[in-house]
Amino acid sequence: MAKLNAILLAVFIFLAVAVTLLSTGAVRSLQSGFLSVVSPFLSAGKVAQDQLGSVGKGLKTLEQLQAENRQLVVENRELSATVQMLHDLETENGRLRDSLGYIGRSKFRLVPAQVVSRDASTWWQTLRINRGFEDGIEADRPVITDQGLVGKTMVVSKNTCTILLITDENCKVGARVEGTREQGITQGRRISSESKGEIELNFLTKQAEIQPGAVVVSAGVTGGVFPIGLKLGTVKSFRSRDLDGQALVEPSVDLSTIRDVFVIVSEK
Amino acid sequence: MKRDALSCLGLCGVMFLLLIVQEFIPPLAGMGLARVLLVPMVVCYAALSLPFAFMLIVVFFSGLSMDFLNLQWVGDKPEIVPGATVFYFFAVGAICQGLRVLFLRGYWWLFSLMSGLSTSLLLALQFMFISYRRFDTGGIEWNSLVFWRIFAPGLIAFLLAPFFHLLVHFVGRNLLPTETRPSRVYG
Repeated sequence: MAKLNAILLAVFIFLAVAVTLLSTGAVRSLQSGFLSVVSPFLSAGKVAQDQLGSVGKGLKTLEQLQAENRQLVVENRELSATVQMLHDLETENGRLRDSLGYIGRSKFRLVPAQVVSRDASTWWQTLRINRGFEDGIEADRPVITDQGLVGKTMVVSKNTCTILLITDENCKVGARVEGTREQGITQGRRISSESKGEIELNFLTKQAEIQPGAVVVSAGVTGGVFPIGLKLGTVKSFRSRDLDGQALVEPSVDLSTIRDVFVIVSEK
Repeated sequence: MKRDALSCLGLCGVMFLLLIVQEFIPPLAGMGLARVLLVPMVVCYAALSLPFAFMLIVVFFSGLSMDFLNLQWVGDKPEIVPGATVFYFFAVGAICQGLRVLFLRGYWWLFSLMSGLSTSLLLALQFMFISYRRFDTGGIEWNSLVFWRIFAPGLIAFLLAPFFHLLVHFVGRNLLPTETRPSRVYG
């Protein structure tokens, strides 16, 4: 038995060392393969989580249901009126958009995706979406919502993809403060007490006059990952340091509750 | 032997299931947004209840799964060496193997203790490693939030471990190794 254990231990150590010595490409391939295997389970977990969440929401008292019904009747009337108004606006908007050629000038081709899960690791800020290389997604592609920048794709497998969030310390974005000439580089805070995370905008000039509420957008560095003008967030505070200025930025997207995102796969 | 193999297979399945489940557990708002980690607990259980050879299988499978699910890339290089968790779990498993005799005699709290310690130690080592790797950008940062994010997952594993032990013991007692059955352990 001891001999068998010794042989198994030798095999174990050999395999473990072999894993640590794998080339970058091999590790990426293995990780991508592993995520492809795991993704159906993650999707099933997401469905189960949604269903479990809806069970509690469905249990209401008769009084609550009656009150809700009354409220819904009123809302229904309001929405009917709004829909009519929006229909008129849509017609007008379509006409104006056509005349301006807006669609033709749209810059990006987007792939919509749903957030499947959030990474359980403590020190990294990532999440997983239900799109992969089968949908044309590659590594280092910007991920956005209608509210602003979310992050970039990191590990892409067949039908799932890991997103490195802008609130992660390793995600750096060239950024500028709107309404000023200030430019810097953002990075997430390693430890943040905010559930939606916090971003630091570093390398600003010491004397920068940046007010809380100022909007921070991507600067669009040549050859970089992120295109110009994507909203990152708003300035919470600014402080001068020995060599530069630093602004604390609140992300424009609530990354703790986000459900739907878009991946920029290419420019049109 | 057959029973041990079945137990090993079962624990690998449970580990994989908990690896998925922990992805869906939200951060704990009252504990510095700490995350719940369940895999080290399964590794400890496997190491305390299975023979050495089968412990190695669970350790390898668990470590590799955790590494591949959570591996982060900075440019072209992974931030933590893939396989590092395999070696960490091996060290934990080796210690647990030394305590296995006591565990089988009924000292079940050793499982709780080892689960808590190994979970927190894993997070502490990860934190030290990334602090070292990011020394030029952030260096070492220590505050109450860091403490909670290391301590709280260990505390939760410590508290969950007895329930996990009971669950595995009763639900799968026919699949467990003979020596971990109640008649031999507590009888």
